[in-house]
Amino acid sequence: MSDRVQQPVVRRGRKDVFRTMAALAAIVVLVYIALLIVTNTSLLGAESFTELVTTERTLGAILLSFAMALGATVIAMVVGVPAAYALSRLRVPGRVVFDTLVDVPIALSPIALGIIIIAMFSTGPGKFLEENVLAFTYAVPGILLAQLTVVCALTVRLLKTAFDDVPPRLEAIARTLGSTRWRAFRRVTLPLARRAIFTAFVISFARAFGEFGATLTVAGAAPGPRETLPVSVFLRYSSLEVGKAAGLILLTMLLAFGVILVLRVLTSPDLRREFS
Amino acid sequence: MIELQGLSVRFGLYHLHEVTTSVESGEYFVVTGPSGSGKTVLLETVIGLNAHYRGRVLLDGVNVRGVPVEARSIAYVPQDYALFPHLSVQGNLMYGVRERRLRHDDVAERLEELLDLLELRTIVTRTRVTGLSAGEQQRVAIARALLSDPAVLALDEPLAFLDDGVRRELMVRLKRVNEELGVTILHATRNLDEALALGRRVAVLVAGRMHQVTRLEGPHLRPADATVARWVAGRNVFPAVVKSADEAAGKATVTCGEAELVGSFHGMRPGPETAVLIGFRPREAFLLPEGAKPPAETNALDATVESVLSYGSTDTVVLDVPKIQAKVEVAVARTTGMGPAPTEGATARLAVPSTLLWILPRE
Repeated sequence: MSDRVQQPVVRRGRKDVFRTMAALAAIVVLVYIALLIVTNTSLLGAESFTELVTTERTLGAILLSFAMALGATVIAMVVGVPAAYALSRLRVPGRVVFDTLVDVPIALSPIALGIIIIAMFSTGPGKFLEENVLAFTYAVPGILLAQLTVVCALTVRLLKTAFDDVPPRLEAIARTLGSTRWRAFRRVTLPLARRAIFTAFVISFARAFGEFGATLTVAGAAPGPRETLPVSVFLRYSSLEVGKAAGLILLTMLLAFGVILVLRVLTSPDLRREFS
Repeated sequence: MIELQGLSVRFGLYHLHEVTTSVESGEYFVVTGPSGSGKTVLLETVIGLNAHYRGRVLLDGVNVRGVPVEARSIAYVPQDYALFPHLSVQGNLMYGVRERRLRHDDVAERLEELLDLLELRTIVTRTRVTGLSAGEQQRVAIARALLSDPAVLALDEPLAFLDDGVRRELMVRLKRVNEELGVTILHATRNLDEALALGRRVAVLVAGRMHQVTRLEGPHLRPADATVARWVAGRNVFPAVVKSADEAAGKATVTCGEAELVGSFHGMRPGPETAVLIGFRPREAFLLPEGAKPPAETNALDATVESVLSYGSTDTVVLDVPKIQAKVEVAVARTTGMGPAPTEGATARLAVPSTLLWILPRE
């Protein structure tokens, strides 16, 4: 036997504080969000919430917000899925440059993007399009374009991460079993990335729904047919109707919570089981 | 038929150098060699998963450069099985059937056959493949590949992670698949015994070079050169000098240290005084029982036991052999009633049959 002192098999227990710390951090985040909701509720004016919400102006804003956000998200997904897949599977030198290029719009302020869009339609082919085909600036299509521009990069980034997580190896194996590239994508990659793709959809939709800066810059801020919910909040706040602004914020919160929850439950098999 | 003509691949650390060989239809062809020798790269280039190569790959005489993977009828069982995690066992099995648009009636019989052959009946109803053991996953992967009705089945270390018993059974089954279904098998393994048990022809790949392709006559592989000998024999490769040679019998007497040994040569003409290498596989030598006379055509050398490792049914014994001034390794199969394993420090007598003592040219 060596002279080395044998370690006891059971080491003296140390309290593992990591779990507690993690839980505390989660509580801090949740409490902060609750604080935001409570503060907003305290700002609610004397007028009835139901009354505010059911005015034609508010209903119009809700409808427009939904339509624009949904439109922008669907377009972003339709373009984003193949684009993100291509970026994910791209094997060319310098692909990190392309990859980073996608992130640039995410870092730009929405107002900056709005300014670029306006500039785009004031010269060259943009101007021709604007004057002869479809008006974007200070028009409803502009809202869609503004939201699409803000959301698109985020959508592609999220989708690329979704595809990055599917091993290309599985596609290769699918092809040894007779799948074409498209069939391998359709039958292997897409189902495996499904959950992350739905997450991308939900987050993109939420981002588009709350979009304000680019919408404001491209379509302007005026009560009426171009007034989305975030614009409405801004207009009420600027005209010192804080109570009404708070009411619309609460409405936005409720809608966001409801829509995102429903989407999430619908798109996650585990949650669907839990709820049924 | 698969033909490789001057196939070269550079692939990070992997490097395949000018491989030229061919595999006949219906053949069981094993590529063996140490880890990292390029076996997987070779397989995946033939399958079409690696487009960056020089040279030519011909399938049934057609150069397949640019031919998509799915247009080649080569099913693949990779080392990591790569089952589809979103599909059930059944979904995995039937994947290729659906993609190749095979008629279910035509496949039904083969499915039944494979369910029995690969013992999949108990797991075929599982809705997830993630809970399967390594061996089960491997069997599903093999069945999935075979159900797609391939002309060639490419297997990469298909037995590596299996229990001994399952491995032996699967080896018998792979042989049957090859013989009864007529599927050409291209099998890569770093296990020489596996290669010798299964292959009709065995190719040895070391560090990206194909050193030999040999049609097996029995359960022995005769190394073509010193590199293969070092891989096959480990430490049992020694320099020697030819004393006399009998070319007709392919036998020669060599001097190694102070010992005079008789070995066999092949494909060389060892004149007297030629510097050569001699070598033998640890499991093709044995220890003589005390006082026993060596059998005919067997070299015998006095030795001292230096270390013994008993693993499974094999004792790996390292011997110090003073006459050749070297350490020699012998793997002795342990059978019941054989008596105790040799003890360290004891004297022993090493025996190497002269047919299994290779005489090879020096590098």
